[in-house]
Amino acid sequence: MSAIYTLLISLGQLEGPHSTLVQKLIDILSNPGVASLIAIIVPCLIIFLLVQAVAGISTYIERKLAADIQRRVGPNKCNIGAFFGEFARATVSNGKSPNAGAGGKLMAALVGPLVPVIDLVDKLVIKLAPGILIFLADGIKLIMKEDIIPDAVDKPMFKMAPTIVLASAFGACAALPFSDAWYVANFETGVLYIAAITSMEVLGILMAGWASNNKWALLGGMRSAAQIVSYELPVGLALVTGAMIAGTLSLQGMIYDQFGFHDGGNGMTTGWFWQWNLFHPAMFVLAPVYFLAALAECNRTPFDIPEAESELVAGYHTEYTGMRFAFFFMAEYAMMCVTSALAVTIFLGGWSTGIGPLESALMTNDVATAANHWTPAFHWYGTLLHLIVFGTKTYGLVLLMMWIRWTLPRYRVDQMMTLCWKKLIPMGMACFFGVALWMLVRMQIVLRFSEESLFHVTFVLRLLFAFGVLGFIGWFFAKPLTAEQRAQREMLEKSGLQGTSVAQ
Amino acid sequence: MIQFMQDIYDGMKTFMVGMKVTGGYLKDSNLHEKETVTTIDYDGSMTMARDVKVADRFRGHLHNDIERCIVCKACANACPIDCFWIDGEKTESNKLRPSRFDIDLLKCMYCGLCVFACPTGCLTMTKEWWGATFNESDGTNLHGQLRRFGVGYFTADQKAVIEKKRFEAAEAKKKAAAAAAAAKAAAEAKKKAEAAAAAAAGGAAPAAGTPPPAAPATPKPATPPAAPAAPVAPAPEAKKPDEPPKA
Repeated sequence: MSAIYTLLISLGQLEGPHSTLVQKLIDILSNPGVASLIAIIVPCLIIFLLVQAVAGISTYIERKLAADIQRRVGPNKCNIGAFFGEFARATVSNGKSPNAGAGGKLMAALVGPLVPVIDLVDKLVIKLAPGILIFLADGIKLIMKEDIIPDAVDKPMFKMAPTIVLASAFGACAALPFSDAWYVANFETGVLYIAAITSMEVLGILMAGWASNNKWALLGGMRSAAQIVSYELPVGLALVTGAMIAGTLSLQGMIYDQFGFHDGGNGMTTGWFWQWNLFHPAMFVLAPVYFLAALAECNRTPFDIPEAESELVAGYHTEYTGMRFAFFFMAEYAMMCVTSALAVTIFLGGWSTGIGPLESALMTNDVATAANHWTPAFHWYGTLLHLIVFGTKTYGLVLLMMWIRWTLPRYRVDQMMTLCWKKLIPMGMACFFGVALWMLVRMQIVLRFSEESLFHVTFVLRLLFAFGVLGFIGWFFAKPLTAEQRAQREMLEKSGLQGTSVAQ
Repeated sequence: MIQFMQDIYDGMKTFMVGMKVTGGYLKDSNLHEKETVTTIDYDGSMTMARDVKVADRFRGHLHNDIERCIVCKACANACPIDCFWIDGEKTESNKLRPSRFDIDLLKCMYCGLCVFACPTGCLTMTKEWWGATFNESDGTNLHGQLRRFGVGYFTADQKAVIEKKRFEAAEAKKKAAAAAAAAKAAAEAKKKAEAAAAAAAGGAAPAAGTPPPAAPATPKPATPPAAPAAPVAPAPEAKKPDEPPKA
C-alpha cells in the first residue's frame, strides 16, 4: 500500500528534537527497504483480519436473514451480556472470595468497572442484533474441536487443500481497489490476476475431494471442477467486455473510466452514477450473467452442487473437521466478498459515490483538469468516504447473494450445465461481439463528428436508461402482490398459527 | 432463438417474483415480536412452554382414558413399531379391563395410527409436547425409556397387591443379601483369625478381632425408593404383549 510507504518515508524527513532512540527507530522505519516491507506486511495483516471478521459476521447475518425469510427467530441466545457479562461477573465474584490469589484479585479489579459498560452495550445491542456473538462461539467451538485426519486419506494433499482454497480467496484481495489511494497493489493486469487466482480455488476443492478417499467427497470435488471450469467462461467474457470498454486491465483504471471523463470535458458530467458500466447496454446484460456465474464460482445456492447436502453428505469437505472445515467455510465467504467486490469494480463504479458534485468537491485538483487528464486526486476524507462506499456496495451484493440463497432451490447438475453453456455463454458472447462491433462503429463516428458530441449523446441516453432501469426495479418491488399471491401468502401465514394453547 | 429469449424472460420473471416474495418477508424486521412468526423466542422456562400455541392437529403425547379401555389391543396391532405393552384381566362381571397400559414414548413416532384404530376413542393424542426431564425420578420418565401416560395403569387394588408383592420381594432380597454378607463376613473373619493364629506363633500377633471392612453392619437400601405412586416395570426382556390375561 503506497500510502503507508509514503507515510514512513515522510517520517524520516521530520525535523525536531528527538531522543537518540526514537531517532534511530525513525531512521530504521524510513529506510526504503524496511518501509516497503512494512507497507507489504501491514495491509496483508489488515486484510487477513478483515476477511476473517467479515466472514464471521456474515455467518450471523446470513442466519438471521434466513430466519427472517423462513419466519423463524434465528440465533438469539449468545449475546454480549451472556458471553462477556457472565465472564466478567464470574471474575468479579471470584476476586471477592477469600481464597482469591493476587492474580484473581487483579483480574477482578480490572474487569469490575467493565461490568456496567458491558451491561449497557448489551442492552443497546440486544435490540439491534440479538445473538450477535454466535459467530464468536462458533469460532471458538471450531478451534477447540479435534482435528481428525482419517487414516486412509492422502495426508499431504488433505492438509494442503483448505489452505489453497483460503489462499486463493485471500490472494484476490491483493488487487482489489478498496479506495482511490488505499489499496494493496494496483496491478496493470489486475483483472487477469484476479481471474487467475480465484480459479485456484477449484484446485484446492478438487484436492480435498480426491485426497479425502471418500466417494461423496470425490463426487463433490468432481462436480465442483466441472462447475467452476464451466462458469469461468461467462465470468471471463464479462471481465473481457469490461476491459474492452475501459481500455485497460487495471481495476483502478476501470473505475476511473466509469467516472465519465472525456477529452475536452468541463467536469460537469463527471462522477454521475449513470456513467457506471451497469447502465451500458451490453454490460447491463452481462451484469446478471456475471453475477450468476460468480454465485456458481463461490459454490453458493442455487449452485451449491459440489456440497449438496441432500445428495452428497457435505461434498468435498465431508471428511474435514475443526479449523480445516472452518477454512473452507471462511473461504466461501471471502470468495463471496471478492466476487462481489469485482462486480462492484466492473459494473457499479467501484468506490465512486455516483453523485457528481460530491465527487468534484472531494477532489483536490481542478475538476476540468482532472477530467482532461484522467488524473483525479482526492482529499483524505474523500478517500475514506470512498472506502466506506466500496465496502457498502460490496456488502450489498453479498446480501443479495444471501437473499438469493434463501429464495431459490438448488439446480440439478444438468440444469446447471444447461444454464451455463446454453444461456449464459451465448449471452456473453453476443455482448462481447456487440461491444467489439460498437467500438469499430464508434471509431468511425468519432472520426466523422467529434468525441464530445458522441459523449453528450451517450450521456443523455445512459441517463434515460439508468432511470428507466431503476424505475422498473422500484416499480416491480413496490407494486402490490396479485390477488393470487396475496391469498397464498395469507394462507401460509395462517397455517399452523391458529393453534390452541397447550395449557389445559 | 425465440425459445432462447422466452427462456430468459421466464427465468428472469420467475426469479424476480421469487425475490419479491422472500423480500416481502425480509422487509418485516423484528419478526420475533410478531404474531405470525412460527417459532417463538423461548427462554427455556416451563411457564413459557405452557403458553406455547401449537397447531390444531398437533400430535403430542398419547393419553389413554383407562376407564373406557376394553383391552382390544387394536392400538398395539396398528402400531408400526410396537411401542405398546398392554395386559388385561377379567373383572368379576367377566369383562376385560386393562391391568397394564404402557407406551414407550421413546419409540413412539407420534404417527397417530393407534388413535384411529381405537374403537372406543379412549386413546387420544394430547397437545402435550414437553417430554424433557432433568432426571429420571421426575415421574414422567421411568426406567429411562418407558413412559406411562394415562389415568390408571393398574386398578387401585391391583396396585396395592403388586406393590405389596414388590415390597416383599425387595425385603426378601434385602434379607438374603444381608444374610449372605453376614455369612461372608463371618467366613472371612474366621479365615483371618486362623491366619492370625498361625502367625501368632511368631510372637507379635496382630489384633485378630478387627473385621474386614467389607462387612457392613446394616445392608444398604437395596433399591432406590422407586416412586411408590408409579410401580416399577419389570425388565424389558419379560415383555410378552400377547400373554393371555391373568384370571
